[in-house]
Amino acid sequence: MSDFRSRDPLRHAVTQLSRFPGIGERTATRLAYWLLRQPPEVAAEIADGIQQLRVDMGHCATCCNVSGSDPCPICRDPDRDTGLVCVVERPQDVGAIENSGAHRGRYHVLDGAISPLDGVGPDELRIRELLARVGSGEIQEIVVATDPDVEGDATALYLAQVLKPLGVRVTRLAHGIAVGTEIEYADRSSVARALENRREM
Amino acid sequence: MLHGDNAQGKTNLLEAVWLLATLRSFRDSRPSRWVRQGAAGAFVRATAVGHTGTRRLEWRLSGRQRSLRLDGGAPSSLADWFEVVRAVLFQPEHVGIIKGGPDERRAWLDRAVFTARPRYLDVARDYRRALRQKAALLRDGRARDAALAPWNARLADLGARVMLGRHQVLTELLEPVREMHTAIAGGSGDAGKVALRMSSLGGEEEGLTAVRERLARALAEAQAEEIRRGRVLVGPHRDDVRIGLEGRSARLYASQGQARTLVLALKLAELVAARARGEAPMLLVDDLTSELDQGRMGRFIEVLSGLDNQVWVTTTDPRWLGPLPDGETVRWRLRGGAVFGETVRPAGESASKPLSAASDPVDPTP
Ligand SMILES: [Zn+2]
Repeated sequence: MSDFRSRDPLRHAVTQLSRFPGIGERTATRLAYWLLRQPPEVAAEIADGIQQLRVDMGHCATCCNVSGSDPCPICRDPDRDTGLVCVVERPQDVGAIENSGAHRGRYHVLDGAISPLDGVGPDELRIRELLARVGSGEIQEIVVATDPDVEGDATALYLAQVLKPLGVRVTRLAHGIAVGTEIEYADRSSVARALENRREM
Repeated sequence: MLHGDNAQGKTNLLEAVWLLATLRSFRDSRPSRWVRQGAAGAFVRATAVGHTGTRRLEWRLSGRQRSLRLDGGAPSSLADWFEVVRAVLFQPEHVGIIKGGPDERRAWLDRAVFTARPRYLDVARDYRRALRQKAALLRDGRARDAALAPWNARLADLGARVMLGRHQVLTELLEPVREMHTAIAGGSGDAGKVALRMSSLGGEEEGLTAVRERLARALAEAQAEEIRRGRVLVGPHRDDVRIGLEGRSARLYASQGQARTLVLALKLAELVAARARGEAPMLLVDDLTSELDQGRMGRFIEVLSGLDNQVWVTTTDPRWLGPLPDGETVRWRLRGGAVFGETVRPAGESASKPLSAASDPVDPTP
């Protein structure tokens, strides 16, 4: 198994590093030479950090966010408002909304948006898990923070359609965030404004 | 006025201007075609003087990467970019707007709505995207009412905005079209009275909410049939622009000459309507050669001279155009991709001296 590596370790490292999104062969080569100039433990620490990410990170069974523990720190936090849940498309969106400091409730990560063109319907998202959370009775309001694009808007409408009959309040982020800006990249104050000015669906 | 034999680069120059105005080609949308053989990229650079002031524009293609610079920096949004240069294009094949199918008329009107309201681009793009999503859902054969509902809600909202945008711009164009048609066709009064309306919205004034509700109802009524047939049957992507001339359908009854006059009137009307908004789009006329008889050509040139808009005209033979306004016309001859100026003003200067080409494919490495 290791014989194909040993032939050209530098070539192999460059090939592996250039698998990262946004890293081309030129950058990968620079990183590889940089690693060769560092003390040996640097490469080992980086390799370990990457490996442990996959070993230790799983999903929180409650909010479906990626997490090193189940329940995740946010779902465990007793100071958080358990009646308020913010629904997002991706784990990164949780980070962006946390950075704004404007949301005191919990989260639910859908793992995408409805997109028939990509074969993604409601059953492919973590909507069943969300309905189960609402069914358990503690949630009063769901803030839908899916992206303000065609798929994000349709997903929000679908959620309103299935959640409102359960007696929960459903709101949508205000369009404080420019159309086409994914939540992840929106700046802090506009995220806070969009949360504050959320509207009833 | 750009003149020269065929394949000398007249249309390339026009296309470069159109590219800055719309970020699209009017011939071939593959960017690779704009790159000179062996070069790594291409750029178009221009200084534009218009209703937002004097602005520097640069469009650049290197590899497959396109980039824009506005006054030396990245534009904060595409809407900012489109605000700067507006253009209306006329090509001989645009006679299809009168005689061709509904898709050609919709394409013209959507382009006109975009010129009048650049933000319409987002609405039209989102509508098309939502339509493709719904079509995929219907094709899949498992579509149920609950899964269709969110798409129909989006389509009702976006579709209503498309319908209203088209209706409003068509309404703004009606009087200018009549005025321009009379001016080019000659004759007097109501003889050539032109009518314009959307197949789906009459002349009545309706607000967004009313149009949205009406479209939502139509979508709901068609739902069972759409599921059965596995395709989308209702929406403004199927609308048509009804163009009438002397009380009859121009598509069915206009002669070739009448159709050419009418389509020029539509294009000029966009310029006139823009004036009311304090804007003066450029008019790009590609290959104005045998379009019009002498009388109509003379009146067309006269109308152009009366407008404040900058006009770019390409022709193989300037004699077709007849006399052009003195002191306002710059004549450039194109040969082998190079521009030779025979400027009328200032007098006595630069006879047949090469000017820098507006579009010059280069290797973009500095
Ligand atoms: Zn959790």
